[in-house]
Parts: sequence; structure tokens; C-alpha cells
Amino acid sequence: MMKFSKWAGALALICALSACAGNASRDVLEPDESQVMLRSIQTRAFETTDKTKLMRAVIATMQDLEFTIDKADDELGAVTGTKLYGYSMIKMTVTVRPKDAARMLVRANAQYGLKAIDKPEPYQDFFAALEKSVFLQAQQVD
Amino acid sequence: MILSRRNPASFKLTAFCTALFLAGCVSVPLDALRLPPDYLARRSLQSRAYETTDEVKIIQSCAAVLQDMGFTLDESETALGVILASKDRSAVSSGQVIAAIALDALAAAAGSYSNNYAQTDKSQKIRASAVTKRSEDGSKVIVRAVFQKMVWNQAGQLSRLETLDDAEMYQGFYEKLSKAVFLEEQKI
Repeated sequence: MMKFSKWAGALALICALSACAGNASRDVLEPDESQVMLRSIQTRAFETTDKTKLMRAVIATMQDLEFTIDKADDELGAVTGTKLYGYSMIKMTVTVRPKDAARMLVRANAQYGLKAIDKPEPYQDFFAALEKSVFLQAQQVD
Repeated sequence: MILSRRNPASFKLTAFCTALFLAGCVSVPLDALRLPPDYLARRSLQSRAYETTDEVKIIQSCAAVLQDMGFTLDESETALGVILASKDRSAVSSGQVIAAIALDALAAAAGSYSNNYAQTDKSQKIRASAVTKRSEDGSKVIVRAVFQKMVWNQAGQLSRLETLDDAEMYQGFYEKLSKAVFLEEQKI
């Protein structure tokens, strides 16, 4: 019985160490979800042509969400911020660029610790907060 | 059950590994980007409005006040009204160090090893961000400042990160800013 419990312990250790093992090098350049799906989750269009105003609203929304702004570039249209959630850091970049003559595209992508956030719910919450800030409806982009 | 009764050491190992397994695979929280319930109160604590249309003057004054407070500028994007600054300071507290060394000495006297000293605070970085924007009617410039503290321990690990919520500190910053721009700040 002693022998069995030793084996059980060793097996549990192997399981623990291998549980989250993936092909780490593959994750670096490949998106985790299907690219089109992920883009749709992370992107919304807003009916405005005022890029700077939209970017300022993105910054205000990130501050409301308790992010600290790390970088902001008006020309590139990018804002990056971090916040602590539990014991992990959430890092998020939001980019703003024109879609057509009347609309701007806002894309957000975030990571939680070492994982990409690829579930739709957090992004829905972010865009709902951004809508409040710009008084504009966020439109789903195909 | 077999494990717990017959071999406590093995049970502990299994329990530890199960904990490791669960911690290693922690999933992304779904409410990570949800507005916190107190976001309006926090916004009001961190923001002030100035009756001016000169946004550039306000942002320049923010930079000057941060320099007065010992911050160095890390990033700025005046087109978006963003200034980011930080200062590094020691976080060593003699009381904390004495307590940790006493605990380590007690452990050594009892024949075991502990390193509480490595967990004591070593250095801290205070980060400040100041963001300006025009009010909806364009008659005021609203400043939102956020101060954050990051603390590293003697082992070099980031041990704490917190947003500073001390109302007096924000009031102090805005009083200095008011003096710099010769305008009275207004709570929003």
C-alpha cells in the first residue's frame, strides 16, 4: 500500500507539471483562437471621424477600469495600459483607425498574466464602458 | 482516503500537486474589463476641472508640478493630453527588517531554515499619470491624475501594486497645480 501511495504522489506531480504544458514556441507567433473570430470579438466600429476624441475616450475608459496608462501615441492611434487583477497583471492595447469615410475602428487586445484574453465577455464589457464614454453605439464588425 | 490514512507525506504531496495543478491552469476572469461599481467616486477623487480653454498650459503645468514632486517624465503625448512620470525610492522599513531577522534567527536556533528577510520591502516606484481633456461644452479643462505604488522585496520580486486612494495626496497635487496655473480648481 505504501508503494501505491508513493506512485500516486509521483503521478500527481507529473500531472501537475505537465498540466499546462503546451508547445510554448508555437504560441509566440500564432494567435490562440481562429484569427477572424478573435478579430470580431476584439473590434467594434463607431460612427465618428474624430480619431483624437475617440482616443481620449479610450484613455478615460481605461482609467475608469483602473488601468494605468503606459503609452499613448496619437499618430499611431494606440494606447497601452496595465492594471493589477488579483495577483496577476492585465495588459491591454487599444488601437483606433479609420474604417471608412464615416466610421472608426477600435480594436482592443488584452492579456492576463501569461494568457491572452480571448473570451468575448471581457471585450463586451470594455466596449459597453467605452460606449458610455463617447455617447455612441458600438457596432459589431464582420 | 488510502493516501491520507496510510501515508501522510504522500497525501501532502498529492494535495500540493493538486493545488499547483489548479493554480497553474487558472482561467482568465470574465469580469476583468467590467466597470467597478465605485468608478464614478474614484473618477471624482482623481479629477479636477479648471476654467480655461488652454489645455497645453494645463498639461505643461502638470509636468512642472510632477517635477516639483520629484517625478521624472517617462512618456508624454500632448496631442492626447497624456503625461506619465515615476520616481524610485527606498522602501526599506527598519521595523520590518528587524522583525524578519528576528524570525530568521529564531528559526535558525530551532534548527530549521527560513528567509523572511528576502520578503521584506526593498524599493518602491511611484507612478503618476496625468491626463487632460476638454469638458463637453469646451469651457473647462479636466485633469485626471492617478498615483500608483509598486513595491519590490529584497528577493527582487514585485510584491505589491496598489493605486493610491489618499484624498489628501490628490488634494495636495491639485493645490500645487492651481498655484502653477493661477486658477482655482473645481471638484467635479
